Amino acid sequence: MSSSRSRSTRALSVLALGAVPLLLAACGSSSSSSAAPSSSDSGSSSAPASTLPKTLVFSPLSLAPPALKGLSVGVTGYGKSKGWETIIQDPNFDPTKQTTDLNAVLDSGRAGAAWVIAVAPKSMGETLKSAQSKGIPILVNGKPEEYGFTGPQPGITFDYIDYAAGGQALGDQLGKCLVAKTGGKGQVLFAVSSPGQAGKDEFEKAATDALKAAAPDATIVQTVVVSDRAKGQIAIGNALQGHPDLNAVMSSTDEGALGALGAFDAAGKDLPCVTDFGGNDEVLALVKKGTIWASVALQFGADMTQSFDTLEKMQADPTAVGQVLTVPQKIITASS
Amino acid sequence: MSMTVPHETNEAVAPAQAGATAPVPPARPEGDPTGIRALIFIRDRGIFVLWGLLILGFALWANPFFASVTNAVLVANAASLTAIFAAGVAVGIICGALDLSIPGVAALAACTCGWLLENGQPVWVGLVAGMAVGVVVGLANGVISLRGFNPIIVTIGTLSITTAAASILVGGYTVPGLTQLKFMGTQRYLGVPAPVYIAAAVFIVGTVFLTRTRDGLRLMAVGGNAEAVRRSGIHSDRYKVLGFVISASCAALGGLVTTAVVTEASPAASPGIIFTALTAVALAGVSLAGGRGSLPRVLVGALILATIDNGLTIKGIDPYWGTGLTGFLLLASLGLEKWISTTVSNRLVATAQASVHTGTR
Amino acid sequence: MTEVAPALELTGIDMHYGFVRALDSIDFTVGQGEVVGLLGDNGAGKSTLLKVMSGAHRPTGGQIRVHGEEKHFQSPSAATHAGIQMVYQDLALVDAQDIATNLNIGREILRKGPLGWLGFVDHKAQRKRSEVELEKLGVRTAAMTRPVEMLSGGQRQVVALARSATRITGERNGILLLDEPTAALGYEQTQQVQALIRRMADQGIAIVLVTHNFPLATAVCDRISVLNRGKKVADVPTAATNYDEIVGWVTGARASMFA
Repeated sequence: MSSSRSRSTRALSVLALGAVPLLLAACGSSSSSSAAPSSSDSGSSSAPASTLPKTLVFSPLSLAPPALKGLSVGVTGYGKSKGWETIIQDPNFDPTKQTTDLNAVLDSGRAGAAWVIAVAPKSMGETLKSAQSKGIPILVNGKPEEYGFTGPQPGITFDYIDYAAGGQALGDQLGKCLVAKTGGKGQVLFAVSSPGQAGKDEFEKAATDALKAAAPDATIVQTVVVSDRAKGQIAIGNALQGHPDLNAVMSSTDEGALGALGAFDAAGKDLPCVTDFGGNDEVLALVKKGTIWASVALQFGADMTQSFDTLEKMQADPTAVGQVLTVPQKIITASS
Repeated sequence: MSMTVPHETNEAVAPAQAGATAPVPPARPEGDPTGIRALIFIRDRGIFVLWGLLILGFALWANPFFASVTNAVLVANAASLTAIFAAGVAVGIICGALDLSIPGVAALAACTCGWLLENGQPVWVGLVAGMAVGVVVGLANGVISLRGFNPIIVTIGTLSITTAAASILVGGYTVPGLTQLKFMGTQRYLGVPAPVYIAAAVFIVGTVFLTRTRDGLRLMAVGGNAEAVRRSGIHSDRYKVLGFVISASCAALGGLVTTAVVTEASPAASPGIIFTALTAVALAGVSLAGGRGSLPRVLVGALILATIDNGLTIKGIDPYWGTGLTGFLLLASLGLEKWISTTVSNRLVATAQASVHTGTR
Repeated sequence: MTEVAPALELTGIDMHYGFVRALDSIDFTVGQGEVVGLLGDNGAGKSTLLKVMSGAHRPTGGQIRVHGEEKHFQSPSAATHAGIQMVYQDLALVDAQDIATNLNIGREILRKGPLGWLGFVDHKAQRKRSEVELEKLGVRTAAMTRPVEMLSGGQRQVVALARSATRITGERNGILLLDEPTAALGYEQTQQVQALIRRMADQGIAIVLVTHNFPLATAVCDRISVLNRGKKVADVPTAATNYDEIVGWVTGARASMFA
């Protein structure tokens, strides 16, 4: 698995399988984009057509990861239920391709709204400005700072994953597990994502702090970088050799948690406490079984509808300052 | 070598005895200076020595966790996955082709098997189908390359095609829950996990094939000088294709074993596979020019990588240091090999010239 | 001598490329056990003639007879089947493999029994066979297990020659075509090759030797043919000619014998 994937992909491992029921449940709120003539606030270019087409262009990092592929399918379906057409682009992890393809669609006027999961946020500046000037609402994943902006912007909505909150939940849950099962004592392995992932530092700091708070007697004895499941399983197996008394694992990714379970199983050792951040189907099934204590799952189904609806509203009033949303998170335990 | 030319007699040896080489044991070239023999020993067996030194080093440094049977088994297990892929890469290179489609073939084989198992097929059907993927892709690679296209480009093309096919087959998702494959994954037999046996089998069969069977010898010869083999009346094209088939089959097997170990089939082709496999092959001194190479040394190359990874992880050191160390070892081994080759040829030239004056041989 | 058809006989061989006459009505024979030198300056046509004999080029006119039978070679392998072996200048040896492997490639000896069905090679038997064959040729080599790349130029040439010699099939000995066998060799090594060529001829092999090396030609050949601009200008027994005459024919200073 490519280690160059940004964090959002890794975290986007749950597919909007949840999107399907949501699609059906979504009472398509009337998507009437009133013909509001938009005036550009950056003082450039012509005023676009009075009615923007109900066409969304969706440009994720790449269609290769199953999660993103599924998201694109979900978006198309949800859009259809609201009377929108969706154009799916595939940048294939290439930032230049992403901006070129987007600019082409935006310039031609074909798209009335855009949802972008940027490969390289810093390189999106021109595209964002161009969309603004055309009055085409655009939703991007990440925080304003990642794109070179400060604070909310007109015509742009930012939707980011609150990694700090995610990390906090991860560490806290693991602490709770240890308290419940081993009286709060434990040797913990922290399976982290590859360097360069978005939000990595704040996530890991929050997780470490929360764990300390919830279970002061537990110590993180080793940190292992996990890029894919097979390598993770091997690496954690090696770590187990150096720390035979490991009894807890918290993981930034699904692969790390699953790899840890595989490694402990192969070594014939017990692993009473596992928490992870991600929440794909296999993990959720294990949470239900009780093998994994908790999974902090990003609710992409809900996020998708949230994003889509916001874009729709923005199309009605493109000069309004956009929002800064977060992807909803949910802590899933055996009882939830 | 000397001809007993009627008018010159270097030694008082009658022509009838000229052909006798029997007294000299075949393994020892006659009259090679001990210097040359020692250098060749280092070149051919040095990698084993290196591995031994690494083991010793880690045993002392990572005491007491490193030097135990359980850990040895762990290292062997980790090396097995890399080793299977490395065997494929090595055979490809020996045969004169760098096969870059290996990650894609692994993914497609894994997904084919996973998809079949998911749809209720018995395990053996899934496995056979997975291996068949390897054979078919290998044939495709070989046949297309024979048309005159650069094999590297061809295999890059098949890499894209197989990756896409894998993704399309499983609808873009992974296929988890393949616990029926555990028997060849994490299951232990006599305390040793299955992948170790599989990798051992691959290397034993591979080594015997390349060094002792007619087709294996011809395969290596084709890699060395395809034209020479053709002039001996052999269809060297067939052997080139065979090289691709073996390479892709190893890739398929590697994909299936990886799937078994994690009980999940993933369509994501990991390009890192090529990197680690190539590193193991390069450490083993397999010449990229083709025609020569020792599979046992490739196995040791894979073991060295796994040993370094294991030792550093036990000590809690960031494994990127391991990557750095491996790179350094690789450069050092290249330099050493170059130095040995030059020294050996220089010394051989010296002895050849010696015969003019000393009249020996 | 009984009336035996020559091993290889070329009659009226023409080779045209458009208006260029690379070969013009060449007659050439070589008998069993005979060494015939083919000399000529660059561009005279010797390599082309050799390629015609080896089946690599099809002549535009003329006849080729092998042991009296007319042959049309579609490809070099057809010529090989007819008993003609060519040793190219690049030697075509597999460097990484040892002498025994190089000598036996294409005619490996398999083990007896089930191992043999699996394709297992009997290395010992092969080495033995090669040793015997080389002994017959009067060659004493380095050990059979020495990789060919570790041999000197002369030794490699000898291995290449021996390999071709052993492949000549049929009850009647075959024909060996040698293209500049000593081009890259020093004096002593040339001597070794020379001795081997004579020994092979003694065993009945017919040998055609293309070379620039006049001393070698005069030392080893029974007969010498000279080509000049695609025409044969001389065909004499070696004993009946001398260095000056040969040079004259090669450069064109001396008139053709057949003018």
